[in-house]
Amino acid sequence: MNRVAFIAASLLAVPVGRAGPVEPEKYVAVSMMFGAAEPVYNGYNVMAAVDGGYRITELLWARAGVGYGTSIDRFGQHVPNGGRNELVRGGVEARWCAGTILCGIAGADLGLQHGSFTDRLYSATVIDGVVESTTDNAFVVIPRIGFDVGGDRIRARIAIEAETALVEHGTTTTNMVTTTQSQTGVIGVELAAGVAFQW
Amino acid sequence: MVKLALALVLVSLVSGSVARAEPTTDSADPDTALRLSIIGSAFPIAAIGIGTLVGIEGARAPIRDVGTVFAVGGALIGIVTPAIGDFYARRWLSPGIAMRAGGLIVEYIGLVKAFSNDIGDCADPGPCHRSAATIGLIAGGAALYLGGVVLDVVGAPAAAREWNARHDVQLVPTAFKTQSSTAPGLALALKF
Repeated sequence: MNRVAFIAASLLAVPVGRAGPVEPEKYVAVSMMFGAAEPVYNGYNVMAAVDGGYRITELLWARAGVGYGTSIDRFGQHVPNGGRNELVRGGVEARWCAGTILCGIAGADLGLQHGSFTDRLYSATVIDGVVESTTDNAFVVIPRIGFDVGGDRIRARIAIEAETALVEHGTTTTNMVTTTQSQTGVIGVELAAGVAFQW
Repeated sequence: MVKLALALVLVSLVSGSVARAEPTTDSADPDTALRLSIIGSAFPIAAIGIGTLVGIEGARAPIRDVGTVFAVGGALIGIVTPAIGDFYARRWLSPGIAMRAGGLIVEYIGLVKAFSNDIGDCADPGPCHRSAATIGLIAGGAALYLGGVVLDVVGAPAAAREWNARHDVQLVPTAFKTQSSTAPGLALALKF
């Protein structure tokens, strides 16, 4: 038996509340960072990084993280070439979302950056080359901007950042002669791509 | 006995507030479209800005290299990403994309002139200078590019509203509880 139901009107004038997803309060992320930084003057760096954050307001998150990696040569086969970079950082970031899928991220960290690089310098008079070692320690401010995309728990994150030295101290040793130098300004730039888990 | 019951909903008067509170999967939220376009614009513009700064001020050649890659990559990505609010609103062809692509070509020509043709002027005695045409190309390209960004950001909510207006009448599946069972049916929904 067929039944036909007629509903003349459904008047829904009252806003219907919807239980949205629970706003996350914490996150941890692992990422790879690709870029270049002092003191590696002849290569790019590749770092693994871990960071975590805690939501402090609707918009702002406190965050901290570490990174460590090696350098690869600038020309040639892009293989490790004797450089190291380390980074310890903490700061705040604002996260502003369009729905739940895409969020924009902007923030700034303060941190300590340490790097070393050993290379062999060749010249017309020194055919075997001379070993030159450079190390660099800097107190940096790191502005960053990026976005994350994904679901309620797992999100992919991409950000770019520039490490700007507020205080920097570098040493260079060549043929057992050590010189020191200091500078301020942009001493690194990175693209970070990773995955975050939030809850 | 045929248990299938055809349920015809003649009119479902859904107020605007309900539509905003719980949009259907086919509707586009203008605010979300605006936010998507803003985020899609901010990232490439920041990449261009940071990349240019690092490309000029970087302490080492590799740092400047990476900065330049960020600037160029940001400019290329930015042809598309400011339009993601439009894409969300199912408007796949945005005039802003054409403006940004055109602006980038003009900018490229201006930069090539600035770094190749005009650089000869700097070898002459007296201050270096760029020709008016070069400055015009660089400024015009940037203006066209940024204009395309603004166009897409401003136009994204309108695109969402346009999509919703075109899809006011919807025939959607539903279910009804009958005396003996739950019956599938169709509902005709009108939004106004």
